[in-house]
Amino acid sequence: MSLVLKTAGIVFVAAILQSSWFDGISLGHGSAGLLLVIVVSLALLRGTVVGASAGFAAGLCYDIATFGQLGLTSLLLTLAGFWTGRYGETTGRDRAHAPFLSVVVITVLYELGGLAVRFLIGEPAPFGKLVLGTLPGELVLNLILTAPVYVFCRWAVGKQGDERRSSEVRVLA
Amino acid sequence: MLVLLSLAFLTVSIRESSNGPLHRFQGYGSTATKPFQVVADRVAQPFQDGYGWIHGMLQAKDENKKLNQELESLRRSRVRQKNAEAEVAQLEALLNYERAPRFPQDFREVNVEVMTPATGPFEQTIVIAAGQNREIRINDPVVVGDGLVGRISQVGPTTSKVTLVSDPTFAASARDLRTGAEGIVRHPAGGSDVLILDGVKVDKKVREGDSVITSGWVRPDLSSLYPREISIGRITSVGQSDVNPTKQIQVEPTVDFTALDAVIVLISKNRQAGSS
Repeated sequence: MSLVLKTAGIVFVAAILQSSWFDGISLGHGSAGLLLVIVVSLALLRGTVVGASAGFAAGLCYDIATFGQLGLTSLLLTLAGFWTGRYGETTGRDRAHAPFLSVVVITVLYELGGLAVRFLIGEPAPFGKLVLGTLPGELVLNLILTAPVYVFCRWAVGKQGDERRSSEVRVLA
Repeated sequence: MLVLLSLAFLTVSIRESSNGPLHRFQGYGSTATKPFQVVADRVAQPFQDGYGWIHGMLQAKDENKKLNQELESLRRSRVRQKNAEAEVAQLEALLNYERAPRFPQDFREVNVEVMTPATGPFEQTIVIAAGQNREIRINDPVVVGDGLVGRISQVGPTTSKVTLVSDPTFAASARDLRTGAEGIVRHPAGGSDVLILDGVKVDKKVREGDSVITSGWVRPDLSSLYPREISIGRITSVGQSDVNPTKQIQVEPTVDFTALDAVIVLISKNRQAGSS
């Protein structure tokens, strides 16, 4: 229960901060993606279910706050949370580079996914502008955010499996 | 399950009208998150001010020199303009000339804080802190001191969405201030940053540096959404080819869309009188 409340709180605050502040922090044409880094960090730390749920809730909050196309950010962040959670549970488990690698890969896939969905629903989808203008700056800003956000999330919600480890040795005989 | 739910939201929000239940829910949701955004904005303000101060200091010297030159030029043109205005007023009175709605005489201003800055590489929109509570409606023009910002594209109870001039879906009738050549200002396909002034015939003598303003046309049954003579941008390049009957004109917007703190929504006085 505590985990659900903490995750919901983090996601809500992140969505508000993203819409009111981080969307305005830009490098080139790319803006800092706090929400994406939060979802990736939560997914790596707590697995697929928490990752996908956090992604869905984060996307919904963000789309509501910004009058965005309802469901678009939810769809992309749900998939991002699920895939990152899967990576964290398997290959990326206990790897120090996992948060950075995940943020890079998910940032690229998130933007390409957004482009594909917009293309499918008939909205303008400028590939050149995304690759040359937006992605480089966004990758740099997201990588800068990764370490502090991951450390914060680890402090706030812990890592999956940490609670199962015994903190003391009991003598049986 | 969550993916399906997202797809359902996406499908319904695309298919329904802007007054549909999902859009209304979004409007109420945006209203509910507004206090939190205001708090976040207040907390961030000192940091933003600090960044703005340092950035401003670095640019101040160059800008001062440029502004002094501009001031001299404006003083000269002001005298000429005063004379021209008096002459135009006399001629209009003689001709009983009918004009399209003009800003600020025919519009009421609603000054609004920007809650959400321009987002993303695809959609260029901002969210402002006023909606139906301030009688804002879809398609109301939005401006700042520098020029045209965009138009209202979605209205909630206390918040509204503004589609910026730099959005790919935006278009406005415009004209070159010097020559009067008319066209449509819009975003080009392919995601370039500059705007284009489309539809200007090759025989028109437009050139780099010309100002582009809203044309604000009016017909008996229809009129432009935007008032006349609001600045849109400055022409940065002009090209033409033998096979194309229109010029290729690039326009740099006068408004810096990344630094909008507050905007003015223009509400037609005629509309207000008609609805009340």
